Amino acid sequence: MYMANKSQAPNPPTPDNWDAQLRKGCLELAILASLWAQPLYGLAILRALLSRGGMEVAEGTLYPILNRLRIDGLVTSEWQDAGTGHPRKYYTLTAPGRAKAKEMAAAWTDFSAQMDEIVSALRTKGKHHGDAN
Amino acid sequence: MATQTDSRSQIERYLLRLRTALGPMPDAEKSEILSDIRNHIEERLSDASSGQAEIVAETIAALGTPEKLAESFQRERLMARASVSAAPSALLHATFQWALTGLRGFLVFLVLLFGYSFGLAFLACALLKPFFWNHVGLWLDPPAFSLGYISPDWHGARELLGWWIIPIGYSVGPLFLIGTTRLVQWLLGRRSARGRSLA
Repeated sequence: MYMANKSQAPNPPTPDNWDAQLRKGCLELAILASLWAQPLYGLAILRALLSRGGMEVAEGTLYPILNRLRIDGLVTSEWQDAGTGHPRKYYTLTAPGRAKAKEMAAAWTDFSAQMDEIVSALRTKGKHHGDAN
Repeated sequence: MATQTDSRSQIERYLLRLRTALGPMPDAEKSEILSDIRNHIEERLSDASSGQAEIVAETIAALGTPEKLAESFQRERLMARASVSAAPSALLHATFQWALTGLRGFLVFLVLLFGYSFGLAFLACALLKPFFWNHVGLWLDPPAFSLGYISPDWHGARELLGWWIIPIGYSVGPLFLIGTTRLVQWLLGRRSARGRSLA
């Protein structure tokens, strides 16, 4: 049984799956960044991510992350009467949340610069190693 | 009218299933999550141009099944355990929020304050001893101990460590600071994982 399992090649991630994983990894930073300028409620965060960065986030993904950020003390939340017939819960970055957002943004800038450098080889004109003939 | 009632009962059924799927979690946190999701659906409804039934169905589909959504909440809560920051400001903020919710949180907040105070006091003594050698140290004025600076007018106290306060302060101070940080991180992590109370 062990040999049979060992001989099975793992399924390689599809490009779509990879893309989804990449977006998911960046989501926490994106949410913190969306709250940088002003407090927002859940739906407004989704809209901000979509309008500013074209990032479409599943509604079922946002609230669990916001709940974790709240437990971690990176955001606080407050119900406010928005005059819409139902209250809205606004999320605000705390001081540790702002510090964490800055730290993550710096890490992202470094990482993306490194990746740009690495993938720049794909953009250069010239012959592919396998295209010698 | 019938459609509106159907939509309402669909929302209630969804929230009921979500409540069950969330499993063991403090009632306060569960209620918070349920009101978040209810509010999200209300927000979508208030914003909609198409029919109520369609919007409710669309929103519920976008949220995913209650079981899957509950699983996401539980997974993120576990991640909170792993990502408790070591920054003193984050720990102070998190434990202060915890202290507001009950005795356990208050005790952890006190542990953090005492741990940091002792750590900083030992370090400060080690640092200041060369400059105020006859006023800084660990003092015994029976039955009380005192760590730090004493007034030149206070003659009843006996110094216990002398110059040893420097190496001891430089080693015990960081131990207090690191030990307190680790302990409080662990307590916060346990709290996040078990969800004993909501920040």
